[in-house]
Amino acid sequence: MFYTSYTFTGPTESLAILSAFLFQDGFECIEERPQEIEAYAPGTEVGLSAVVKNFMAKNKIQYTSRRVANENWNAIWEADYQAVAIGNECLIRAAHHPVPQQGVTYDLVIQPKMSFGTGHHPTTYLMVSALLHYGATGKSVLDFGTGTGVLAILAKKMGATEVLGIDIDPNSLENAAENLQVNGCQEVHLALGDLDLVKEGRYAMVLANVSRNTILERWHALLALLAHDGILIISGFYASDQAYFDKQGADSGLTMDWSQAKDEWLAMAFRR
Amino acid sequence: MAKEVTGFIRLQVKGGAANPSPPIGPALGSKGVNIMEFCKQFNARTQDRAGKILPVVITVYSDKSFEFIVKTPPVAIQLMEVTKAKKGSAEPNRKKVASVTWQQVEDIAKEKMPDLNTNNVTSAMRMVAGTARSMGITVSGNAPWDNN
Repeated sequence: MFYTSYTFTGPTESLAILSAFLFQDGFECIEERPQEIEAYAPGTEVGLSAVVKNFMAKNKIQYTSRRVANENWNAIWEADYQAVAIGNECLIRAAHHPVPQQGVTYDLVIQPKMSFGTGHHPTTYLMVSALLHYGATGKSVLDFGTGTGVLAILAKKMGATEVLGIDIDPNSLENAAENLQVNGCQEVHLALGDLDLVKEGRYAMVLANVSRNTILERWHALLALLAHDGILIISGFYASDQAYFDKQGADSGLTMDWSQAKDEWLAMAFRR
Repeated sequence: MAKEVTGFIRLQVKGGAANPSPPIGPALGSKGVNIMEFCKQFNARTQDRAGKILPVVITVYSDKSFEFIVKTPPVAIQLMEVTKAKKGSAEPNRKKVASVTWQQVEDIAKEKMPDLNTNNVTSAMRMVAGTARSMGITVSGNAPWDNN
């Protein structure tokens, strides 16, 4: 996997306009630096549109392109991140941290490689807290947006019978597979894609630490996969967004069973 | 003690759509910032503006922590949305693709004011009109300040 990087240099005002044309051409994100902007396209060089080329010619903008291999850009942070303890029961650490001597029931080793879920973020912390609160023994668990696989791994270690982690990001899935291996949780199933790939099954526990809109858009799909008396645990949004989910829950006849906030973030659990 | 600022990163990202692909990955990662932490925060904070192109300025501190501010969409983007011009004009001075009214220029100027180096609506409007002309968008009618 590689990208083609384009760096455009020229007058700042002209680059501001060029950015708008680049977004129209399908570029997804732009970095601005003094007198230059950089944009990336996946794969080989894409042709710049006539609009972009003509605008560049008229506004003295030059560009260079180069090929950039995909890599773990988060490596510097990951090299010395601090282990995270959640309560007394669960420790999330990197492979280079010492093995905890005592008192930790669930010792999880996570090398994130640009996937989400290390316990540093309040939402992961809250989701882990919810899992510890409810327990997973004998339950089937669906982890929607599994990222590093941290919640799926914890559920398995807690005694879940069947665990499925899904994610739309191929990098995350590859990373989750590595983390399953490291933690001896190879029985956890992984699949690439959105909820519609989960064709059958009703899960006693559905986990979704994604974003407000993603959960709202998939609310009914999530519920369709939840067993009778099952628990839906959601996070990835701010406490200020709670009203959206209060309403969704009430409209669906669900009772909110548990909620917890950390910093400005919130996790909520609904029982069917 | 105040934390030492080690750098600023300026990006334009679609609301709710930050991910570790470049340029976000290399821009933040090279400064030791936890990329995923930024993406989660940015996406949560921009759920109401999902899909909108939003400039964001990230301040990075010596302990690798960061803060960021999200600005209003760039003037050029707002002009494109107002005119619904699918493409800008390849030849701005000869072929006009679209036009905006002075009222629309004023609306954009007012929305963008918090991010501009001026508190003067007329100055902001002149900037917006200048951007429009550079993009090949005509501003129809006389400028409000020409009517007096």
